[in-house]
Amino acid sequence: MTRSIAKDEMRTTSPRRRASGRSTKDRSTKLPYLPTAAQRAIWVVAARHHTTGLMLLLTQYYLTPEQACSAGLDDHGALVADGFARPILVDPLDLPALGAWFAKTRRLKTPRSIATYLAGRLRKDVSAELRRVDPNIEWQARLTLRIQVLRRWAREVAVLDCGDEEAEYKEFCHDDEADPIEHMRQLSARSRRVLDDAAAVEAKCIATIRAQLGLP
Amino acid sequence: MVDTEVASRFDECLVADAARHATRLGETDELAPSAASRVAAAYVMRGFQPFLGYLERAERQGATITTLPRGLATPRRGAWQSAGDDRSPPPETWRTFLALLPELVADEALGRLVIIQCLAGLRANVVLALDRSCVIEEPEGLVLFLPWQVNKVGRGLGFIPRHFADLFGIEPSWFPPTAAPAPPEHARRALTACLERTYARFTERIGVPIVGTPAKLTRPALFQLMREHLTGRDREAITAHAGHTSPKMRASYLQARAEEIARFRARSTLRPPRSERVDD
Repeated sequence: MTRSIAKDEMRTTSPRRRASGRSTKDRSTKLPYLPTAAQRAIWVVAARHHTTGLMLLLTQYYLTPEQACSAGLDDHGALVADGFARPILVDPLDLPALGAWFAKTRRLKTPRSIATYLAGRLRKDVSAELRRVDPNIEWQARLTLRIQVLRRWAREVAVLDCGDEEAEYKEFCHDDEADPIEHMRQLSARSRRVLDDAAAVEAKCIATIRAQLGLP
Repeated sequence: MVDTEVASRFDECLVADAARHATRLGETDELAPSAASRVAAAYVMRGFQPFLGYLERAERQGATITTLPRGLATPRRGAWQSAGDDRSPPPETWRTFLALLPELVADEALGRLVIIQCLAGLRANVVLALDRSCVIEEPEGLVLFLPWQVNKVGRGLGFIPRHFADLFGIEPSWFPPTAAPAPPEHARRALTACLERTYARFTERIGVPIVGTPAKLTRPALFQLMREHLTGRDREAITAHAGHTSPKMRASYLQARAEEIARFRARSTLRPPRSERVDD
């Protein structure tokens, strides 16, 4: 009886899972989040590949690959992209990298080429970089670098930056219905920080009890 | 609003109803007192379940429900009370236990794994399957990549906050270089036995018993402890910590497990034990 119910559940959920575009193997073996070490490695490798500008467009400015392909800088140094009524203000520190990216003649110009770059060359080199730092972990087998992962990472950073300002977060996601809590269902950086803050209070209580019991 | 006081008042009413009904059964059906009280309890509890359903609906509509009525302590106590009820020890006991933990496991070969199990709220099987390659250091703590072969809910993440890791001196080197993805049964039993011995030593030292199944106790106890410092907005964090990928499972932690309790009670009510069936 239980088995048949489980099968029914699988039947009802499988179409949704297929629609997510990830295989069962991926779901069972890949890390569901982007570790901080991997985030650092991405910037290191992107600088080596001269693709920092592209990574900024996809993460810092939360553009889709389509928008990133057709984007450009206007005369005032603002970012012009499809789907935006007004140019997007650019951080002065990001301008050199973005300028260099748009100045490149042989840059990635189609969403497909961007996807291939992320899942192929970037992922391979990021894994190699991570393995150099921590040889114990099989990063290449666990790491996924796809546009969805990068966008989730961007949202996580935005949630931490925006704090309780939901309006700012909505503006970042270009989505009036974006909900930071709803978006952070995995063990995100925000969740980790919240749990660590809760643990800090408990650790203090535990340390006090230890002192009372005369323990080191 | 339904809080502890209201819930206990409701329980008192249930007891009074059952007693009244048992008296009536004794007079009219000439049942023995024990049989009459058993039948009366089953009768009253059958009406109790729809009330829980009503409370759930009321909560969805915005009512505040902090405590659910417990119902009657029927002869089959576990059937009504044990499934979803919080069996974790009081926070103060758990804090004292954690404070003493390094000392309690000092002579144990699997002592470090017990500490990890208690702090990460993981099952014994999962802890045994963790190796060095499953530990990812983050500024906020140690993230544990749980092997999908042993984790009941598939791939998941465990987490040991940095403050706990620093307090107990947990480092990636605590984990073995390699571990079998499916630990043998004897290893699981050894770890559970080690945890039970630790509880026994704690009771001996402090005089406070920790009752319940140890392996099942660590998870709710830890989550209960952490939940004390989390606001409603932060509850997503603890559900992520619980490692459930299914929103439904997460919801069971979010709503004080009211849903789980109600579901279990509904199942019990639909199929009461043979001894409590009145239609036999």
